[in-house]
Amino acid sequence: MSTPNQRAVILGGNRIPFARSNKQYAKASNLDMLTSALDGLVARYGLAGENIGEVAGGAVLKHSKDFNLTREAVLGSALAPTTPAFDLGQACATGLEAVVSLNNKINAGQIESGIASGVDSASDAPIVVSDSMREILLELSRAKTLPQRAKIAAQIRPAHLAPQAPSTAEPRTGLSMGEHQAITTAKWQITREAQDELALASHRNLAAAWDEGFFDDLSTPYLGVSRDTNLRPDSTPESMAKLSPVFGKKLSTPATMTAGNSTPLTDGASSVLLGSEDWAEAHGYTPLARLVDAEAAAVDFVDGAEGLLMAPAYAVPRLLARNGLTFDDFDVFEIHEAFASTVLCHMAAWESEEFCREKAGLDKALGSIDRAKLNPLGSSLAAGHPFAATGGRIIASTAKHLKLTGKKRSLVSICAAGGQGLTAIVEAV
Amino acid sequence: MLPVYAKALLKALPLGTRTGPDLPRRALDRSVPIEADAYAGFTSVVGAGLSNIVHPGYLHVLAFPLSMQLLSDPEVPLPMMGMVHIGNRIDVLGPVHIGDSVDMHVELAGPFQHPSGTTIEVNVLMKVEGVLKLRETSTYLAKGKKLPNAEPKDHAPREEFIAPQHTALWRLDPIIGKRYAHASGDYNPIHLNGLAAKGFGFPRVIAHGMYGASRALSAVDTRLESYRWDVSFAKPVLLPSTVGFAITEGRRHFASTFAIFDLKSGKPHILSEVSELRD
Repeated sequence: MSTPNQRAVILGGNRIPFARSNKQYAKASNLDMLTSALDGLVARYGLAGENIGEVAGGAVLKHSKDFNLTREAVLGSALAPTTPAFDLGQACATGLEAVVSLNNKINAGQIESGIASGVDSASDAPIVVSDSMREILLELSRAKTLPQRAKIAAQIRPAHLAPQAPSTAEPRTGLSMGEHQAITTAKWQITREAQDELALASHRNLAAAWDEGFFDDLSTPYLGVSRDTNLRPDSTPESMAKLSPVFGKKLSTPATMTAGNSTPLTDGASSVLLGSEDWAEAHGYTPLARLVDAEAAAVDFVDGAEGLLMAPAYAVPRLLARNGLTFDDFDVFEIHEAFASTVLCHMAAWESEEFCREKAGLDKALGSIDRAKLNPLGSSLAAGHPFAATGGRIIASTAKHLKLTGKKRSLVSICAAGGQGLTAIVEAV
Repeated sequence: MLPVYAKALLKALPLGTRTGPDLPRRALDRSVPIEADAYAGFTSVVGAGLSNIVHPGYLHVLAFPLSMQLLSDPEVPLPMMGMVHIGNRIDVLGPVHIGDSVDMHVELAGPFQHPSGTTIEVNVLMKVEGVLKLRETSTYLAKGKKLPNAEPKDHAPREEFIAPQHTALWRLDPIIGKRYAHASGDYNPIHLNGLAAKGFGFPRVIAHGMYGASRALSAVDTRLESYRWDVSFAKPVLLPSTVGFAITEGRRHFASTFAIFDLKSGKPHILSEVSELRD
């Protein structure tokens, strides 16, 4: 077991600014972006040639040839080539799970330092052939003679050739994440106005943070991009209100989810430097904060029993109970904005006596969140959401924010595909 | 299978041989081993996991050539082409596994009276090593044909269907017709060729009924050992189209009622139910 001085602390982070898909990073691969995020971290912390205990990372939209994506990024970076790495995946919670995993390894005394990372490109996405074409090609590879091959190849029809780009559709339901969320949004009766207001606050807060130079030591410009390109600081309630709904148009209730209050497809990468207190001191790094606990949850969304993105609503009460905390004990709430309505549905659930009693197993409502404490640095609606990179963005930002402001405690919550959610508590040190 | 449909098409022409009003009293028996490769082709099309227990939709497929052979018999007093598969009931009495050799016994029953014509039933029994594993009744309707000797039969009117919130969307491309044809051996041209479909009054090709039924059962993924799987075919699914799916009662893995329906009109394509069978 680790002694107190070997406990893990968050030391810093680096990301490339996030860019809307098919724009500035259209030609950059997951490997390119992840390597750049790591190299920026290496440069900032003087880690060139250093052996790190382990680097963890992943991508949601990942080609099978990138089976060792994170290790390949390490080999392409300025880190010592003898630094081990592993890939992991938990959909949009991948980046946070990488932090939790390395944090636990440091706390277990297995490693002294770690870099948690994540990357996603919605532009340079792997394209696959149709199931029929794949079956034919696999048959072809198993055929031994020319006549066999000719016979199999003759089955190929033009319709088989249509490529399939990855989508955000859930494999078991065929519904896109937006369509799933639209059903949940309607169920919790979240209004268009409330969603637009939350999106505007996200843009306002992120713009202020960039203007103040908050991200100067958390990001490294890449391919000419020095700020998140999705950021629209000049958005107004009027301009948001003009956007047409894109999800939930087939429901019986009015459609409320637009391109403005939903996260766009984004390209980007992030990284977080973790180390034991001893390791940090030996290297002259000042700890920013500590990840003290984490809790995952999952819901049964397949036959509609619960909304796809509602798992954090279940994880948070369990996380708070285990740590003996209430909402009042938190100064910051970092709730990933997959959609504005996702955040609003979680908050509505925690305010709901019925949900907390019947679904979350509490004896009363969990409570309300002070809006002034919610996503004070903006979140995914403004920054964009390169799936596996979001966890690293949030952890590095909220850790620095706690250090900078002297605030004590932050609650981090990320919803993920497959009906999952991962939540964590970050505390000042 | 193609010759069966060719023969049936010929019979549909007004120059076929005259037949009497009775069904031929004939049964067919055949033993078929269940091979993993062929079965895997079926599961990938109907969205089922490839496990050791065989999907009852595949057992239907195994008996299908014998059913068609009986239905296309020149002595059957109704034309097979144009006959519509309106319902299917399978009682799964115990699991059939990959590698099992299935002994099938197939025979016809009917003709029966129906408000819109006359029906014939195909009854299938399947045994593995002498133990009865499956009972199936597939009901085929010859629309507008009335036979004087058809036996009366109760036809419970379909309950009014109110489309629920869909929990899944299925985008069905025309290639589904070809893929299911390859997987099932049912090459009925109305699933493959737009002109053939027009010939039978459909604006486009239609999906195999048992494709939708089997895919719905895959989605429900029942874990019951012994169950009844009822399917009622309503409006055919024109390809391409996007249809909704939802469990309306019960839940995944257990006894449940479920449906495939048109998203715009809310009209049902397939209504289905899995219920537990107790000894």
